[in-house]
Amino acid sequence: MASDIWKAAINRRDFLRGGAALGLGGAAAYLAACGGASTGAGASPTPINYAKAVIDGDLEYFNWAAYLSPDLIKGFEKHYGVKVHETNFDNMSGMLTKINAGNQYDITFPTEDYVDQLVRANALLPIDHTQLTNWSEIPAYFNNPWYDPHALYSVPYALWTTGICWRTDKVPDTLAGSWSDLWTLAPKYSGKIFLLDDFQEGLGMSLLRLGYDVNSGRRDQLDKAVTEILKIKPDVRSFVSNEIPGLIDGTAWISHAWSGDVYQVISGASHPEVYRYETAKEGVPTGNDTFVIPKNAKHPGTALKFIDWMLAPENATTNVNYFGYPQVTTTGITAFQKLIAQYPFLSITIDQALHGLREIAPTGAKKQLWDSEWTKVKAG
Amino acid sequence: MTPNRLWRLTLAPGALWLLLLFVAPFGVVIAVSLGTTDILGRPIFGWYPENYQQVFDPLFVPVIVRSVAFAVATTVLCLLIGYPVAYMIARYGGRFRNLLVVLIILPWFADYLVRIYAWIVILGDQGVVNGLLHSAGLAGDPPVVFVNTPFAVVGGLVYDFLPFMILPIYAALERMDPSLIEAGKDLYGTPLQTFLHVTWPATIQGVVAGAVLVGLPAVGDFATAQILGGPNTYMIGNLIQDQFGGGYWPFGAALTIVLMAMLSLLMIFYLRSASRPAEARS
Repeated sequence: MASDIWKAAINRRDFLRGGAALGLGGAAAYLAACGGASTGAGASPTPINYAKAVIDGDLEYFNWAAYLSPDLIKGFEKHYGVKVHETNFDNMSGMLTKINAGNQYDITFPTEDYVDQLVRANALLPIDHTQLTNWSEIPAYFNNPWYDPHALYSVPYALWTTGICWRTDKVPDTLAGSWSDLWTLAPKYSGKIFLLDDFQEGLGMSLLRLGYDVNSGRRDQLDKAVTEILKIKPDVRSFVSNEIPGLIDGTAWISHAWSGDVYQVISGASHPEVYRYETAKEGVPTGNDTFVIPKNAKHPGTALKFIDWMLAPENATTNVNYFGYPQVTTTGITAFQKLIAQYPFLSITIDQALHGLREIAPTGAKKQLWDSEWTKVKAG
Repeated sequence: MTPNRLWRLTLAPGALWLLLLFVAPFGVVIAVSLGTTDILGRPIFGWYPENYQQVFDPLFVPVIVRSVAFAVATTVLCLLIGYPVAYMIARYGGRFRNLLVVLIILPWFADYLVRIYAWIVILGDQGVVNGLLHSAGLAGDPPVVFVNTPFAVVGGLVYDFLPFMILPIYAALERMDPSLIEAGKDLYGTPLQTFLHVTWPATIQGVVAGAVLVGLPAVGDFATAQILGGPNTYMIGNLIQDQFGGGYWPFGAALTIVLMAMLSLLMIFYLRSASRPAEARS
């Protein structure tokens, strides 16, 4: 895959979408693999066949690039005498496409709304918490999260919020802690603004600003949200999947941004003190990534061992210091708070995560509506 | 086995190749374009011709116009750059001809994406060109905005496809009998007249071939616009790619079929125009 070349430079949200580049051939292989699609709606209630946490082979690992400490991967290999074969996806849809195509991964990292979809499509293996010696590290809420009742199929990984990042040296204005800041500042900083190239984040932000539901399914509301984005589009330099390089090299002074990415900007910039991040009073999109084991995993035992390895307190600390997101374990969150002590604007607590707004991946007709509305933004 | 049969057998690998890697996937694309999807976005076959109605939504008119405009600009620029290059190599390359052709192809040994990303390093706000402008005291703060503009996309496309223009023109020029040019001069033609009445008509097939090889892929390209483009460079390739990378596959497939139909018409035009001089000769 061409995208492997960019591993080092690319963050979790990036999308070269190499998979799509395979084009027709990929579609054929995909359909051949599925043998015509099956529709699995609703989790099956058949007797649960839990995997045991025993090493049963090398780990097929499928994640965003650079979204987990490489030292921990090496450590896992050494500790258990197995190999970890890493494959990366560039966005959630790319992840889903590869799973759908019948690729066998032992562990992957969907966001919560995609866990919900995968569970409903009966695509995940149930996880027995008694197989995880470090399960007690998981905060209470995540024993029964909204996207996965009784945490039967997923283990929480990392929390994020979405907001606005800016450079105080270039933008001395006082921001209002509102999505409207993008609209207010757009004319003055024309050509220095990035928006995230993500249909849920883009439309969601505009919907929130208008006082609508972040997951609105109403065409009139979405139309208005699109019209509003089109107003600032002439001032937008680029729609990006990875806002980090532009914020570091000065292409962008103001960017729609993910909280953890802002930490990566700060840790990569020569003047870390100039960066600020705010969340909006109209609503803060919040979410978390998870560990899951796909149903067709060949080595679920190793996958369970790997999850347990990641939950271990010292490893969670190492990981948080590497990627700048709060890993959802008691120790991970403490480590995160220590990490961002100098940057209080990056703070995110479990409580915020619980009460933050959830962007729910639309499906079916609603998904088509959202896609076409986002196309209006991109094509207009 | 008669020699005739043996010859026919040699067609088998090619035919198999086309069948496996073109006809079969194309059938799948058609099937997907008429289907729908399940909750995970996996295609389900069926009869949903409305996927095609969506293609003709006025929303996409600017995308199609933009793609065609970019492709035409790319083709014209490739011709303006490519023809003189091919001419110089064919006429004055001497014993270095083959080496020069290899040098033109050489950058294409590196991955396509790597080469496009290289342009960001060269043209970015903090790139090489802005660095030079800055040290020359010409610009620098604010830097000249090259990337994220339509110019960057067309420039990238020209760079991507230039060899596909140079090579057919070079081949046509090489096939051409140089004594024709001598004859043109003997008839008191100025260099321009000689070019317009002798060289250009003799190489028009190469030019048309080059235009097809450059224009068709340029219309459908997405990576250049995605990497070098900005908010106003969304092409039909990006639209299709967004459908397969998370959007609605049946719509992406329908778009693909319609785009292919449009490009096939252009291809037919090319094949007819290419076969005409051949008929005239025979």
